[in-house]
Amino acid sequence: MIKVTIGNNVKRESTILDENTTLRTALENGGVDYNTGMMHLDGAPLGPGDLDKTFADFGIREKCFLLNVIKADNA
Amino acid sequence: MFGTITDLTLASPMARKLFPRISAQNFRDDVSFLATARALLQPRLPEGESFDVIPVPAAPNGECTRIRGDLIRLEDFDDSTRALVVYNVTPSDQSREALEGLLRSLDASFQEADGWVSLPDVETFLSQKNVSARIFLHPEKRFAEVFVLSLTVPKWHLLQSLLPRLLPWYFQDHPLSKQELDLLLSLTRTNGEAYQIAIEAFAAQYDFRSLKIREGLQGFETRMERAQIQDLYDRIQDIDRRLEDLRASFARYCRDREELALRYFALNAKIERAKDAQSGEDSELTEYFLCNKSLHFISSEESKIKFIVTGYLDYFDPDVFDSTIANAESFFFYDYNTNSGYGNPEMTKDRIERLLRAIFQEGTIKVRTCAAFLVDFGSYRCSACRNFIYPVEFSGYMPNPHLDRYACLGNNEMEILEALKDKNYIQALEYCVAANRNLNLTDTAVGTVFMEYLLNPEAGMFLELPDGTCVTPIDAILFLEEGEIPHE
Repeated sequence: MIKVTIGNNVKRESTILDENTTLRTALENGGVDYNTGMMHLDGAPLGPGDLDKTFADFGIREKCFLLNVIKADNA
Repeated sequence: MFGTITDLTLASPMARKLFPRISAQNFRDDVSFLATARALLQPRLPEGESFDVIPVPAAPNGECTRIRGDLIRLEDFDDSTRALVVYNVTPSDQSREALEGLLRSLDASFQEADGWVSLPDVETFLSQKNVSARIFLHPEKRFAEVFVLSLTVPKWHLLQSLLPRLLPWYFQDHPLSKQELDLLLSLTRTNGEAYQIAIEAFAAQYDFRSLKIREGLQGFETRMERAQIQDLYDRIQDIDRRLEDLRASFARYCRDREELALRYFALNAKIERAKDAQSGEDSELTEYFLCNKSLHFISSEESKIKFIVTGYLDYFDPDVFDSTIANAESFFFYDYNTNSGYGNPEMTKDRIERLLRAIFQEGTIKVRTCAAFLVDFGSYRCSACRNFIYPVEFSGYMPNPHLDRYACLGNNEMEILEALKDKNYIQALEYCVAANRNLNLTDTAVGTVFMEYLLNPEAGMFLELPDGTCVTPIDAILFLEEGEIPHE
């Protein structure tokens, strides 16, 4: 089991999940919309197909942060 | 007989209150008839009756028909009103024949059968005074009509002296006193002084002083008090408004205090829990720094944290890239700062285009980028560190042109500040990570800096090949051309 902190601009909460849970499931259970903005897993951007991978696929064994940010431009 | 008198106490507006039943219109501004009538008739006028003196202009033509039209009729008055009407007859034709015709017409209008009587002796007396007049009395109705040829003010005064004869019904049972007789005689003098003294002596019998005081001060205190009330009301309203403002402020302060107290106690409890923690558990912020391999902690001081973010320049607009690469004069190939190329002969136009397509279209080459940030959680401020001197372990990264050269966070800054104000520190740091990934290709100045880094002959190994190997831009070009990693 791993500790996953899921959040976006308006909320953030930590939950204990099985590391074989997919990122998509975790986001849906956490009520975070992954269709808008950008998703980061421990600061690394997630690409197409990554949401259906499990935390274990990303090598997460203990804890991680799965966060959504609004797309914004510098300048 | 004397001239016009315009100011007498018994004829003043104030006297109307003492003599409401006796009135007289002025003749050429002369007020004496009103004063005389009030002096003589006030003790004599029966209860319920009123009396009026009415001067009437009358200018008959040669046939005297207009006088008949101008006559004031008895029917014009109610049963309680008595009157003395004085006609100022000014015929245009003053010949003897015309005047005699006028007089005959008057006689026809005021016949004995109708109750009218004339006063020939008074008329004779007046004629001796060079006053042509005809007088008709109606004893039953107590009405008198006097026709005077070319009435003047002196004649007007003379008529007053004959009041006992013109209104005999008032004086029959109430003879004149000596004072009253002297008053009437004064009206025949050539100097008006005696009359004024006599008539004012009558006025002295009445308390005009009290009347003047009551008239002048009536309602005065009430007016003053009304003004004070208005002032008090205005001041009360003003204070009510201030009280309302204070109440609103008080409520606002109470709400603010409650919110701040909640946050104070929550933070206090959190700090106490942290103190009491036996295992030295990491805070959420510490956990985040430990988990997020993109974050590189440098230092902390009070409420500020300085850190470096690393990542890939992989957030850009592909459509903007497509249009820019198609433009041979875009910043991809032309340095707007020097108005020339980027000065690297090895980087031909074709090689530049091939490298950029590999980065921004094919994704086979990635640009490793870094940026330094200083975030103050206490004052909700975040800034990118311009021209930061990166430690040697970051030599394999290109400083993000937006952040390192211009410290420009763009729209990211707003998101970071909002997150800081919401005490959402993790989210604020996450936006720093996101900002480091962004290259806004619409910004020509920043794009030129990017190309300066990329085409610098001494550029670092910040380009990552598909197998994870980091190479310089020229080695990346060689990889693309030869399909393999160049060897030294």
